[in-house]
Amino acid sequence: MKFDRRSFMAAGAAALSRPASLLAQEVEEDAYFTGDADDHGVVYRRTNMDAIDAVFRRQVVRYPHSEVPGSVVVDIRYHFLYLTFENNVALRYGVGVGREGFQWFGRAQIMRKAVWPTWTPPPEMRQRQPHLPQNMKGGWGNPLGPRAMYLYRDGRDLIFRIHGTVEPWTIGENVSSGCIRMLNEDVIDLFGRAPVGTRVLVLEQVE
Amino acid sequence: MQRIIRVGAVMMAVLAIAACGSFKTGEETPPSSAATVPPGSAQDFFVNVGDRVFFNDNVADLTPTSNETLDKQAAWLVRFASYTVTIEGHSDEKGDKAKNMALGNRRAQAVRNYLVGKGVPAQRVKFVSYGRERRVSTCNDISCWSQNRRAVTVLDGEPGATPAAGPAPVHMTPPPRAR
Repeated sequence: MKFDRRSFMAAGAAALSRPASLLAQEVEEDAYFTGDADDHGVVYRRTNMDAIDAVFRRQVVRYPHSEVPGSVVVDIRYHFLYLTFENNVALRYGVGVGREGFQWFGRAQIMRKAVWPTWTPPPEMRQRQPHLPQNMKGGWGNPLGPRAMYLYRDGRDLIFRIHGTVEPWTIGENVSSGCIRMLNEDVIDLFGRAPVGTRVLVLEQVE
Repeated sequence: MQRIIRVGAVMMAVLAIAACGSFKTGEETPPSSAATVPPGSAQDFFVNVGDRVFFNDNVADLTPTSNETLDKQAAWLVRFASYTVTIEGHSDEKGDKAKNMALGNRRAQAVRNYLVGKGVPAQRVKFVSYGRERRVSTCNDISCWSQNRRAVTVLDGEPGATPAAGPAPVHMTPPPRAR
């Protein structure tokens, strides 16, 4: 049986503001995966793209922009990440973004990249969620997923990252502590297309 | 041919908007949801494989990350054997013209050798260097340099490295999202 994400959203709109870990229990997780893939010696579960809303699948769009081509633009409001190219074309990906109170905007740069990164929850996050480990080794189950791109501003680590996820049902939602999460296939894809130095612009939301 | 003309028309429209001066990053025109990309199409190559790899400063060595992209390119080109490609090697603007032309050449050749080593017949892979002449980004810091130090695999007979956004996009209002 195919899991109907829309009816879940209608029924559980209130649940969406809850932390992702609670959300997960209400989702038919298996519907979001199909088979396994090997990446750098780590076996991870492939995303079942049929379970992902079509607007959040990777696609080419016409995107007029005034950024340096190759820049990443994140539109938190619509949960899209654009990789810009020459000729006002962009590759668009669906993302999950910060929940209310954890959203940010402005300019940054990818200054570090890692494969199956270790996750070190920042102290503030561990204060809010004391059950979190100090450190989690890279691998399946690590919430950063297969890749992380570390965002800096003026040489300072912003603590925000672009990374993968073990919860593909959170793509298109406001769930994180400010990080930008992508489907694992997508974050692997972007990793190959965004060299160190890539500019990132998180658009300010204008209501 | 018809396609090139259509792309041209859209580009003109985009330029016209940009020329008004009111244009700002942040509006997709129009927001679209593409139908499935046909396997073996230029768009499939662009979206699902990736057309370019990047290099470190002043070298033509492939990185583990670029090898991953090139593995996908090779598999795709072996599967869709009717394509021939041209590898375009580029550099950033640091250094003189001759040095950068040679560097772009070595980068393009490195990509070609890798693809051929992965089973793409050599006669299907040409290469060319543009040195520092065709930079995608022009600013004097790493964000532009890293974009320009690249080799792009261009499918012959396709209009440019970045294809048009497929068939006319279906207009769609962004979905209402629960907050």
